[in-house]
Amino acid sequence: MSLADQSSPAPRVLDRLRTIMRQWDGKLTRDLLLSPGGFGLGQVPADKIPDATTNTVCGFCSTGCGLKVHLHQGEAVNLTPTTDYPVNLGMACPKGWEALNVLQADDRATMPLLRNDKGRMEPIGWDQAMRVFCARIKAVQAVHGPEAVAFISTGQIPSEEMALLGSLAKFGMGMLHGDGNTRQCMATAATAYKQSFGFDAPPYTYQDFEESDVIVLVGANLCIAHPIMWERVLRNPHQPKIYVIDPRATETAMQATQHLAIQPKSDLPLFYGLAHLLIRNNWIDRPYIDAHTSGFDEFAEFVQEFTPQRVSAETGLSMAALQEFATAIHQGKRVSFWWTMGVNQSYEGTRVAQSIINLALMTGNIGRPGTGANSITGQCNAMGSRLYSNTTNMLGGHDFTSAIDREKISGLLNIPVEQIPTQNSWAYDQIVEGVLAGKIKALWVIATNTAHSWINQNAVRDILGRLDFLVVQDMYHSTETAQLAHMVLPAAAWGEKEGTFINSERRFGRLKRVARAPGQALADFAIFQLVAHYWGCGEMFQEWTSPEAAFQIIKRISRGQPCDISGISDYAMLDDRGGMQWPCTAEAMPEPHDNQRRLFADGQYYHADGRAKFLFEAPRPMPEPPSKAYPLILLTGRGTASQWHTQTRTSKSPVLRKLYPKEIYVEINPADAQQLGISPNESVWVQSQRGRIKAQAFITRSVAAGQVFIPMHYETANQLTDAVFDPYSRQPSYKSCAVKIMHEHQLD
Amino acid sequence: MLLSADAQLDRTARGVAGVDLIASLLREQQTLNTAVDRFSQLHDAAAVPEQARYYRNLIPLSKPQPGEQYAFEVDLDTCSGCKACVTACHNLNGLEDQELWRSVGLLHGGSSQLPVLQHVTTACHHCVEPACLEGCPVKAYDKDPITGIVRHLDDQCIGCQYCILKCPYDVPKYSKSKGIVRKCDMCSNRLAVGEAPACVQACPNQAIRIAIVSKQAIIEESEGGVFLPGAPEPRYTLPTTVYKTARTLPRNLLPADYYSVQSSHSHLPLVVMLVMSQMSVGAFVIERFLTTWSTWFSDPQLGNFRLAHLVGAIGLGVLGSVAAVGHLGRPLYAFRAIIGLATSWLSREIVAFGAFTGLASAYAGSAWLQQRGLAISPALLNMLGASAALAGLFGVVCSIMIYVDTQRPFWDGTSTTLKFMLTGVVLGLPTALLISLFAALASQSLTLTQVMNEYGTLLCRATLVAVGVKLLYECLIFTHLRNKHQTPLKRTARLMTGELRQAVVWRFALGISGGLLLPAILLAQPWSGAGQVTQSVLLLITATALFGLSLAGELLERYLFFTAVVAPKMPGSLPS
Repeated sequence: MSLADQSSPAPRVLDRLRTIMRQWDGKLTRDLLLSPGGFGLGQVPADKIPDATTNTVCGFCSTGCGLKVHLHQGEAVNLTPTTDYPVNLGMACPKGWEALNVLQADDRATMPLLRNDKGRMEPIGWDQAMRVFCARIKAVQAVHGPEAVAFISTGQIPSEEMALLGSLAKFGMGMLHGDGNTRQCMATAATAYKQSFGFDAPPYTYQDFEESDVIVLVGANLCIAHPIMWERVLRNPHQPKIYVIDPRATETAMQATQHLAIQPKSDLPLFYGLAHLLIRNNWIDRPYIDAHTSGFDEFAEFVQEFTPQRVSAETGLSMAALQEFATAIHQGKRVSFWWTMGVNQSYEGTRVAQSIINLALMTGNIGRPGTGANSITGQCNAMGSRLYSNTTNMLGGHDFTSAIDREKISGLLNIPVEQIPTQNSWAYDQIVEGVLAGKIKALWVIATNTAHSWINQNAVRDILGRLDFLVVQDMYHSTETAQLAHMVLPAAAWGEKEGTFINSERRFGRLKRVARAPGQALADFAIFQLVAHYWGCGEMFQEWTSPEAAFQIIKRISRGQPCDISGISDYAMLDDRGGMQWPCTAEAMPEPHDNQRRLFADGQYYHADGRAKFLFEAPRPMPEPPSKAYPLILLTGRGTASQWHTQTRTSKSPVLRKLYPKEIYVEINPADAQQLGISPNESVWVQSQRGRIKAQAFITRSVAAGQVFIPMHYETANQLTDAVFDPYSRQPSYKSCAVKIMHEHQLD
Repeated sequence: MLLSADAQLDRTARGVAGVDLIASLLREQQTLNTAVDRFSQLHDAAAVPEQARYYRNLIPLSKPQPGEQYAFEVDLDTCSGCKACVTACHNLNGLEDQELWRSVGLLHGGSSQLPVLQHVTTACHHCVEPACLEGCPVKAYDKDPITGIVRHLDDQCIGCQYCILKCPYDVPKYSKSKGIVRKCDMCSNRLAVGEAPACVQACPNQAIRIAIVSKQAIIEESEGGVFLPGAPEPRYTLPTTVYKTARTLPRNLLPADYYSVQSSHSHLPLVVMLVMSQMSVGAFVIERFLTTWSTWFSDPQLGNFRLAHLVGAIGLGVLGSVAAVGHLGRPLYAFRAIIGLATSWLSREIVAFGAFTGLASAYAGSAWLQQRGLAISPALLNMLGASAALAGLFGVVCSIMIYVDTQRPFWDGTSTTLKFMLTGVVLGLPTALLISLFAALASQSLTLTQVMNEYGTLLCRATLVAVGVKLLYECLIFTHLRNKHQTPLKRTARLMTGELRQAVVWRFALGISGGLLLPAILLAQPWSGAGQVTQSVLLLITATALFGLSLAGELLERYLFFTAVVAPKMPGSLPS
């Protein structure tokens, strides 16, 4: 291919000789050959040219990016982010790029496993697995009552699967208690919305990131946790002022107009203080408040005591900074407030979320482009879990304690109403407590990793060990929880099955089967069908023949609810339109090109009086403040964009593995490090009242003095955290507990 | 579709047995046509890729003018550390599982009031003076005369990995399975058809673009010696990547991996090759020395001695060369090294040692013929011997330059020269002694003690001095532990007292026992006895141990030479 080769007049032999001495082309060069991929793709590796492509949504976080899967004979060979998907606009984070590669792993579960008499896991067939599963669960129920069996669902499986699971467990198998791992990430936002708006309804669309002139990010490190949402912020053409509220100097804080590095857990006083300033300056939208809200006067009265002096003292911010922040909100024409786990994972998270909602309501920053009190969700289908897992709420945002709702669902699903529990189920922490109290004897865990992710890990592992029967249904047999299980059911993964996810902005997106599941792994949907059959309640779920049939059931349930999607005809329509946001009724169908919808444009909320509520409560002190013995506050959170939760998937990609630190580390401020005599990279002990772990010291100013930070992805992190919960949302408070740091040799 | 329709029928049928249901579900699970049948997108024949709408403004519209070239331009203000560029590069270029051509590092610093985190995406800098290209013995690198893109010619590569040592930015990556190095070529094939490189296409923040830069400007900007905080200084290769920011970066920015030290690749075949070749040249030169200066040794009667000596020396050199070939990923193409003579010290080394082996063999051959009674002019012999010695010494100089040319402080001129030259002496002397003793053993007319008396003790004394000097010099590295700053040499010293501590202890133990204690023991003996058998046996054992221990010590020294060196690189993130 070289120019020299072409222009040389030398005889062929000389050419050959020259090639032998200097070879420009050949097999090794062709290994990296690119070819036009077609399908609007541009050049792709020549050995991975697709013969078709199909769009699917990513299965990691709640952003819900569209991924164009390159297919060869129906099987995925590569993927690229979908250029025209309204969420990600042709971009993806490393997890999305590597989504297919994590499916190939030696520790994929390929056969049902049963722990034998010697304590070893032994592969068995599905028939035997189902017989044992049903027999052992029925045995527990026979002795301890039907409610002695519970399930832990997940935000990682499609809505169709979680609806079938929830229905099967509660209506078919007689379970009373079931919750999801979404309790760990989104319960606070769901509760806050429900109380404030009358329904769990994040009001925004991602386009709002591009339309605000003031963006307030609270406890949210978009650059790392939601890189594609950060993409949307950067596309904002209005030069928005960006305020980041976070005790840590995160990547996102670096990009802020102003980083408000508040003291951990002083967010509630901050937002009350802000409300105080806005009210004092009369920077509020009185007509909106009067027309569409209730409880403002009590709120105004309540925040009177949150003077700038007090708030400054509690948050560590200067009064000038508070004033400037209030002024920016006042001057903004389109102010949007966004929060994530910094708010949700708190012992008073519901009230913090509502203090943010209150700000949006009182300034009229809701229901218009570029505004809103907007919770950014965590998992790919946390929103689906909130609506269709049949755990805390009955399917479709209905209420187990309401006779009317029970009748309605009974009719819609053709299930005898007596089969429907009349009380709410326990939350995750109460189920764990129930195990400890001997009230729960068998637990079915689906696509989550309790033994890693649950707060105060040493305790929860001990508690899981007390179960008579622990079943883990997962794509890997190696998760920390699967290792404790009596039975492992092998699940097909994202990319190997069908269904829909609902993303943060309420958008339904399709996921598709583009890869073969290994061995005898089955889609969770199929596993639930099997359980129904072997349990003997198969007839109750006759209509649930496929995920798409289940989607039609979900549609039927949603009709008349705020989350009505009866206008979405089928999967093909979702595909054609690039996903669709709820609500979407046949009567109010968006135009095909209109792919951005937000709620409350009409100021009508879901409470009976049509008004949003101002809700508030006096801030409480941190449950475990730093003390003499444990002088540092431990913050936990996302480490890198290449890591996902407990790393069961992201640790399987050789590429992702190179993009995050291999070993657990603890960020320590230089001042603390100096005082403790800790040198960079030293292996140190981090100890709380509950556990002690080793971590490598990373001395950095991104944490303030008196605080340390540990990423949640490493197995031992939650040995330290303190099992404290928000009383309303029952979400664990992962983000603050007291620890001390010691040299490796300094054991006491 | 048929299959899955079947499956649905099966499933809804009443009373279906569990095993049948399982079978149908498993069958459906393995059916892959659904997505294609129902949702695959029509083939879009449009010439312009969809993604072009985002990258259109991120690539140049025109080709560079003379004096210009393409370069990556990174907007530090928008690089937020997501690392999508790394994965996109990997997947869109079809790289091997572990292979990454782009990386993202982290700089941090600032004050407690204003902390700074700055992620930095980096790939090949397509340097104006690429060190990889200059060092390559087979010209497997090409800097495109128009675009300035530094391309690696995969089929030309022999897998010597010298470019990895030469590049100060840790860019070329070795593939063990392919036996070659590969690297970023700025997606030159994409650029050629108006498409953006994978990283440019994939950055959600549009932080990477392709710019046209003036080479003169790059040279001038490099003059200040600052490329990017935490990055190697740019005057060596003139990297073209432009890192731009509207902010003022604080003075105390440090890479997140600044305080971590990791040992480098040991390159065992090179360890063996270097030590063997230096020992070989050393032994040969000592033969020349003895022949010239010792009348006893040059006595024609002792021809067998000299022959044994020469064969031994040449044999060692050949062994070293074999070891070196073993280091290559594609040894069959090693002959290509001849074309790099003009720029590559590696090429020169290969040629020089080739010449040494040839000339030394000719010399030995002539000496053998002379021994057999053929009249060979002593002038010719001398000339052959001197040329061989010179070629060998030049080979060692080339070896030295190979490492000096990488600009790594642990491999600087003084240190590498001293180490490599002294290895020749430290091992050449015991080799000479050992061969002489064994030759004497085989000889009927000479005794071992005679050898000791004639020049053995001289060799021992010389060994003592050479080893003493070398070990002392090697110890000097530990003085860097006292440095307040994390200089590369301090890191080397940290490695040698940390991760590599055991090898260091053994290196000095072997060096002292083989090179100091045993020669001292030999010197302490009176070699006047009548050649008693026990004394001869003891003498042989001691000399063999002296040789063996010294060799092992030098091999360890060279192992540490490679493993304890700190390679320059772009700022990294926390070690993965």
